[in-house]
Amino acid sequence: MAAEVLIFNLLSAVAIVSAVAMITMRNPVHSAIALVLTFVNVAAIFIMLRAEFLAAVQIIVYTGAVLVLILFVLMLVNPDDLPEFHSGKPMQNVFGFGVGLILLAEISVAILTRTVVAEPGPWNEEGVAAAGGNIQVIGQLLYSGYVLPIQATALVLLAATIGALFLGRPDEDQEPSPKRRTVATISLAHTRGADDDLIPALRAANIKREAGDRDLIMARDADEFTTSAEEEEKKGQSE
Amino acid sequence: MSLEITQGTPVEISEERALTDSRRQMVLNMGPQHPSTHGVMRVVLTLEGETIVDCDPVLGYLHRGVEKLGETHRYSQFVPWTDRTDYVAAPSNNLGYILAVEKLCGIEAPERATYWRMIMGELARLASHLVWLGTHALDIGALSMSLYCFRERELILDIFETFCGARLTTNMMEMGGFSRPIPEQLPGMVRDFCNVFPKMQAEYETLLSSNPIWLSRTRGVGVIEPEAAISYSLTGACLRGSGINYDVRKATPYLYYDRMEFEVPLGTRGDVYDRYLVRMEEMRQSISIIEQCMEQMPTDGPLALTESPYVIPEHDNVMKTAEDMQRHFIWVIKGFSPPKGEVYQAIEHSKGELGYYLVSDGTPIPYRVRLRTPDFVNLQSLPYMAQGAALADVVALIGTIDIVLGSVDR
Amino acid sequence: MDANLLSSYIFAVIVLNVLLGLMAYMTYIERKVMAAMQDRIGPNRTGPVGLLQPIADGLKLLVKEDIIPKHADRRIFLLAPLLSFVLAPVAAAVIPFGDSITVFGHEVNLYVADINVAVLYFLAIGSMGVFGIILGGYASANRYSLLGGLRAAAQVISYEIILGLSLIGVIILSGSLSLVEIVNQQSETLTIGPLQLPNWFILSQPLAFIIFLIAAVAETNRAPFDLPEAETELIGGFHTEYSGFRFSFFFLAEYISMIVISLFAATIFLGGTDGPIQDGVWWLALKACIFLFFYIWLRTTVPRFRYDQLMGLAWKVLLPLVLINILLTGFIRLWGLGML
Repeated sequence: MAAEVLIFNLLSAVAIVSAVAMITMRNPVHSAIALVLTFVNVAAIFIMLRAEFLAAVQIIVYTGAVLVLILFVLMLVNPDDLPEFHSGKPMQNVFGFGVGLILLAEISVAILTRTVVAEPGPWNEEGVAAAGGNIQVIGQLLYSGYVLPIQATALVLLAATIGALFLGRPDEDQEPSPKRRTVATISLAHTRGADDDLIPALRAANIKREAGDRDLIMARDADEFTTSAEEEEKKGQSE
Repeated sequence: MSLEITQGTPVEISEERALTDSRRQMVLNMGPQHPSTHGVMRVVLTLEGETIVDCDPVLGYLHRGVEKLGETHRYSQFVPWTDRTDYVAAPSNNLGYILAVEKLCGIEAPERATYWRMIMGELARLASHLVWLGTHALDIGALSMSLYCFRERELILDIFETFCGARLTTNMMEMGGFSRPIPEQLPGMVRDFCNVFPKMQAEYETLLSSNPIWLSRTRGVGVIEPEAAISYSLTGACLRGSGINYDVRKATPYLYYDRMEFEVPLGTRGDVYDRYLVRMEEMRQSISIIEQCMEQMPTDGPLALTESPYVIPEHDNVMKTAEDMQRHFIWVIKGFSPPKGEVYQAIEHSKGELGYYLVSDGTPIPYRVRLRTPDFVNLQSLPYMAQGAALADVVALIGTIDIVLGSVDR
Repeated sequence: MDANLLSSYIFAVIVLNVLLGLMAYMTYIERKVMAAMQDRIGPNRTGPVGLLQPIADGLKLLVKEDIIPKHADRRIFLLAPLLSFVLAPVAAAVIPFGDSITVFGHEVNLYVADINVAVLYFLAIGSMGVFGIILGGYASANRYSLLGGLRAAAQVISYEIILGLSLIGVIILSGSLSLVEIVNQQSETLTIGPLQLPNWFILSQPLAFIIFLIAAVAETNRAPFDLPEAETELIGGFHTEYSGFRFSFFFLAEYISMIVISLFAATIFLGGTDGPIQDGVWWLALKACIFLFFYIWLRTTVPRFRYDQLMGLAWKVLLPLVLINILLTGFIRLWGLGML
């Protein structure tokens, strides 16, 4: 018992310290790492509470996916483009402090009144064991009693995905970012990278040799594919 | 502290544009110590994500002033320098230069020597293509290809070694033919190679030609349209991959290429894959040319001109006759003086048209030596191909141009 | 202390050390197998047939100068390889190496921990492992490393999803997230007419197996998905700036995660310790070796993907396939339970 309390205290202390560090660190990447530490410690506390599923999902979703994405973005961003968090306007500071206080008060009230502990839910240890383990219980609850909230959440996430795609699409009206180098060719009749045959006439007329599913034209003679001046003339006359 | 990375390490660049990142773009300095630039080339890339916005090749890290060296050495002394331009196909470089000097002097090597020159030239083409294939595939990530290719190249280098004693910088060709006899075992070695190689090549093709990853990495990548290929004056497989029918061996035949039956493969779409197919087919054609040479070659006959003043006298005679000894002395000490004039001799090198332009003022030292090295010219198309490509494509594009920095920087 | 807990600790230490030893010889075997495939000899100078090569390599890496770039983010630079290295073997804790055996009168379980969310635990540890690579790439103050880190981040997120979803089919069929339970179910015999087959999930989930295999290669950053390293493009990518033993930590982590994920695949899809005769840990080892050989084989044979192709493969090909697999498996399961 004593060991458990000790470990719990350690975990929560680290979680709190790293949460504070996450806010106070000046380097965004360091903040992200502090957040990882918080998440991992919270996951460990979940394990101590026998909520293994929650712990695993916490790590997979928050540290494995969300934070990797955050890091991805942070690595791309130029530090000069970041807004300065630590020297905001005085009004912002006051407002932020106020909101924080209200939040703290709410949490304190929740902890002090302890309504949760006073009335334990139906899922005590025996109940969970009877239902086959806590994963099974979570699964059954989520997909029977809470189907509607689950579907609603899925819809919200879908909307968010579409919104992200919409916001992330390349903006056309902004400055043309790739500096196109004009090429000093005389007549570029073909669009770049087009997959059409570049020289269909040449292709139709001559020997092909299979190489994969693409053909090579085998030229026997240097003048094979050049039309002589006379032929050109004839062509012009006939037209 | 903070994200110093995006400010990057300070890099000096010769161009006016400094290596600074804008808000959305990152400048990446590739080379001169990058493993995939095939030596000491440097490419300054401007990236947006992994897409290339701008690409600036920076050359000259291996510049040794080869042309100027040619203008301070006697005609025969410059031959070893040509080895050191494109060092993976040294005999071809020798051949181009020797043909240019012979054209200037108005002499021609005997038939048997000419056939051997052709064989060595084609073997050099094969060796060069093998290095190209190995490194190109290695750049794209097919690790084993380089080892397989170098294994077969070893056979070619063995032939060179038997022929002249050197493997890489062969200094093989001489004015007016070959002054040394052909080693007895050489024809057998060449025939063996011709028998073995097609099987090996089929093996390479099973690994690459229809490999889906290889196809997706090479198809539609680095497209050069025929017009662009011409306006960039590309030659070799870079030009033929775009479907332009130009091969020096056909257009202005030198040696006995007019007696040979071979075909010039042309691509249809001008992408990396087409150039790959073209080079693979060229290797088959080279084998066929070598076989034809072995068939047509006279079994006996002189290997070198003996009486010409431009040619070093036969070694045996130098110690026997006074005239030859005198001529030998003068040839070695003073060199020979070709008539006044200028020549341009182009050959179909493995990488494209290799041209030597010589101006003689009648002295033993050329007035002007100019090398038109094919990969230097072909490399110009890199920025054109790289625009809009991915970062990973750059290595494929450098590979497909087939550069050797000794030849690009000279 | 509880005897069970103690035996678990002892077993954990044994597994860790065996993994480290295997890892060292994995490099040797990889070099030898690659050499055989490429017509070479491979290491043969250090000890008989080069057997001491891994030790020589390790020593060399330990005594090399430890270079920290001037512009590097020092703390993260030092942290990143450790993170990779520590997390790689931790995932092996849930792999069952056999039934319990009796040692000195105590019954000892041949697994470190049988937790009820073992599959999720494995995925969670795997998703943490990438932090080492991303942070290493970020902290090196090198653009190639940065690109390597970015590639790793995008790649691992994409393939983690595929990896996780490919396991859902197996979980639906087994009804459990515990690896011990999954192995136990696979040791039964499947009788189809005259055929007596082992009830391995590779037979009931072939599509999921193939997808898992592809995703596993991507997850461990091995060829042809070695884009974060891509020595011909990014010159080593995230570990360009690392040297000496810090570099070796990344290296060790890569090989350990290869071994662990092979063990995991063998456990999930090939019945783990179940074999035709005399079940035991040797069957697990043999099956894992097949996967490891597959890894090496891939590396010698195929070219590398491009970044966009890699993403396209994950999201456009594998994701729909794996979702179809889940749907089908779900329906079949319901049908089997008589609920349709």
